Amino acid sequence: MNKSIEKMRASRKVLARYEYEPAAIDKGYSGKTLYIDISNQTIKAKDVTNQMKDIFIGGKGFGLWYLWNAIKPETKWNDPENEIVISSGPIGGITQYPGSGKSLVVTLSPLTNSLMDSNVGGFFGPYLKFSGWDALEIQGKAEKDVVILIDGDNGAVTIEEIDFQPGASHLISEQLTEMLADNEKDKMHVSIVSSGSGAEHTNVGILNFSFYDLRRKAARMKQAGRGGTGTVFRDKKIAALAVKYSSLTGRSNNPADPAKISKTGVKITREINKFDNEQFRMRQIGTANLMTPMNDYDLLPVNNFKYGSHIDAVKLSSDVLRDRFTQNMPDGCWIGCSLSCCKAVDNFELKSGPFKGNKVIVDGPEYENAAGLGSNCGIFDPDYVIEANFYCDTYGLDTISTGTMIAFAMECYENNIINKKITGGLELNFGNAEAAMELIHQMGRGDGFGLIVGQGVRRMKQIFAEKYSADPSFLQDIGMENKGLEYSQYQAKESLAQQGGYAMTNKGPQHDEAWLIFMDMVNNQLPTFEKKAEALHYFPMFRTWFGLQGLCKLPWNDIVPEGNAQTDSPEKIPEHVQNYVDLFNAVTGRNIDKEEMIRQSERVYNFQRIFNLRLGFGTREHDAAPYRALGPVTVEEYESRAERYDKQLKEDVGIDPAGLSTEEKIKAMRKYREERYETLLDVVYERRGWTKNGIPKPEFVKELGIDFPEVMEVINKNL
Amino acid sequence: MKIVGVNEALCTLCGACETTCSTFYFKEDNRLKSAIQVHESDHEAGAVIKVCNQCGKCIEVCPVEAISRSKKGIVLINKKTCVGCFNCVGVCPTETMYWHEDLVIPFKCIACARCTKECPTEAIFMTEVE
Amino acid sequence: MIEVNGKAVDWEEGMTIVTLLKKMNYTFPKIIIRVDGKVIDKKQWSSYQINDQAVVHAHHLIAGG
Repeated sequence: MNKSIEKMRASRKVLARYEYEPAAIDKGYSGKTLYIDISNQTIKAKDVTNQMKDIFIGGKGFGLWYLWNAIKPETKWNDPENEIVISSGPIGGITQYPGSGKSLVVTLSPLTNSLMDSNVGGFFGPYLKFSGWDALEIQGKAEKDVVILIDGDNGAVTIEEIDFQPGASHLISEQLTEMLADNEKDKMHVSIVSSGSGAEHTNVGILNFSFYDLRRKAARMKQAGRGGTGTVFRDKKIAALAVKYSSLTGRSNNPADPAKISKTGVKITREINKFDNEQFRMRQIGTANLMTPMNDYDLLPVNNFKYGSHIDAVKLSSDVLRDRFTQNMPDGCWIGCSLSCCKAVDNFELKSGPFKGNKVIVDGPEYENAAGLGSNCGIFDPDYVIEANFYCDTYGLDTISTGTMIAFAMECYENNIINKKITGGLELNFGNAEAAMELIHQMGRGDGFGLIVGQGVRRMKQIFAEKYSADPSFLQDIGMENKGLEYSQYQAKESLAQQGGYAMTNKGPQHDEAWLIFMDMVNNQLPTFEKKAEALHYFPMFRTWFGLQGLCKLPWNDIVPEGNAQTDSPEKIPEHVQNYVDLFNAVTGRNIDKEEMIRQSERVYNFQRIFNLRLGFGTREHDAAPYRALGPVTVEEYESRAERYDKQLKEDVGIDPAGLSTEEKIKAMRKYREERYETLLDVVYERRGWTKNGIPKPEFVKELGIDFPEVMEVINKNL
Repeated sequence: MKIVGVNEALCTLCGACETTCSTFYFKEDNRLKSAIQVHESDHEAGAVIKVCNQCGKCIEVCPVEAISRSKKGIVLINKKTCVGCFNCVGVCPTETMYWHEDLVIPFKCIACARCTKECPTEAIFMTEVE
Repeated sequence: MIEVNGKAVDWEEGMTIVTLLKKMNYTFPKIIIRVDGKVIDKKQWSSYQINDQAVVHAHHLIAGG
């Protein structure tokens, strides 16, 4: 290992160097952002304006603002003009409150051809800020692979060519960390952003952000998973980003009221210590704690979202996964996080692929990985899920999209739309873990049927219809994508609110905007359209807020304080909402309240909607959902819930199911559900201040203070 | 190792221990900056004496490995490494990993014995434990 | 007949919150139970008797990942 690190060091060729005096952080902001154009090695500093802080706050807001100004409406994801912007947020980097190290990555997506934003943990974002940069903006394309290094300790940014083993993200993270650290403890001061070979051969490339684990003595990784940000990264010929910052303290953000931050942090850490074990067991299992309840409540995606539970799901239960994770490790992906939910499987021996026989650390599985790679593909083998998780991470593939893509391919295979000849011999039946694993390796290598699957569900639909005479309307019904992005692993089929929560999103069906399934289906808290509209306004706005600040959502509701049940709206976790208001004010010195918190999000959210419009999207037609997301497509789906569906036909639709064939019942149900969805669009648009076509109304845009001339031009052109 | 032992029945809540500790380490007579704190209590003893028993539960939660056991067995915080996250404060089973809003990092009893020399009733004393 | 989250559910003699949750297959670890508007503490779930025609809210506290 040391020999190859020496070789790496010796191979470093500096193409450009920029020296700077790192700006002092003032109440959460350095006040500067770093702009790099790798087409011509430009490196320069830009000022963060007051308008940026007032309107865009940070994180996703900064990303969208910079991207708006950098591209034209015709810009494509693989044009040099496209940018990758990475930004944390004013609260990002505090150590006292759990979940304070997130960054947002913003770019144009190869899957959607429109805006993508993806949130990610790891150390990079906070270290970037403390090195003097509130955001990193990368434009252009390099001729040969480059590495961008930010030395926050010495005030230098370099663009370099470095000779290292490409293609496997876990090795890049490890090797670059080793190269930049002076000793073992120093490794914690380094964070690497990288992707893998899979990002070069598919549209679903991710960015891995490293965080060094002192006890495991390893660079671990969190993922900016959705939308192909890694594909853009590799298309630009960026091999890696690196930051080094050694002076982290509990006051690095230079907050206005540090005592308030400490008080609030100690309060919730005590809460976590007291209640986590009896609530969601985040410290033991992380998000995988959802596997068992989702199955119990018939909400686990099984066989391309056809079903909600499976007799074998017990093999992938939360407790099975708990037993695979190493316990009692401080597993926070940002330093100081007491929710510590980033579990890992240690010493896992790989059974396939280029690293077969190696014993590795696997970051996960998270719920999405177990449900997506596992149950949604009809696979219930934890060893498969863990190995697939590892390879997706190191190849740089989005586990959520990969799960949904493989599931789609499997359903097509089972319906004879594709066959062994087309798949190159892969028997893509639901449950065939070996075939699924080979597909992942193909996506990593860039060969075989993996090259087709790796283009995503939307392109697979087009290809199968064109080349294999498949029925395009059946493909449309079962192809679980919206706006070009694959659905994440929650069953929206019986929750009208969640159907909107997924398909009315800005970027596509990722659950970061809304997660209303239980509120809707189980708790029955949203029985009217008005209540659904209110939820589809409040929650997406509230949840957007985290991406402006550098915060993780999980400590908001994956730990519940005492007395929450007695509050007016327990699902909002009011005490925690107040914590966040207090944190923002304590860091920035501002004085917002819960209403202004929502308004902050509304500004950025509507700006993003209008930006989508500018790019040719952002209207009602793009908020349509595939029918599999709204109701039963096939006979077997209907019959798996026949009692429930028959009851609904009778009571809600007013049709007596007696004497009707299943096909007839499906048709009647479909008409009802599709009409209901349209009504939902109407009421939600109205609540959000949008026209019937889903365009933000001019008066509302003005009220928000984002009525810049270029913005109004886009709106007026489209009204 | 030698740690501070307590006999709460003998405590008169005079606060001499608190004054000694906070004055020595923080140059202030402020009981909230003392690593030993006494409280009135409904218990039979009438007083609760809260001071670190060197159990070491905090060692395993520190994300930056800033907490370790010295050769004498005492649990110590490395001030240079500590990033002030207060995970240790949150996990401490006896609530004796203390913090104060003036201070960036937490503080705790390091068994220096100064308080035990000032206690008028021998309610606190150095005692040898495994 | 009782009402659980707005839906009609058969009542059984001697029904407690624990037996109701089992009947509904409500296995989630964090549920707030209200019977006729009153929050029932988890400690009382095995002893609290649910009467016929009670209105029960089983409020799952989950807002997802």
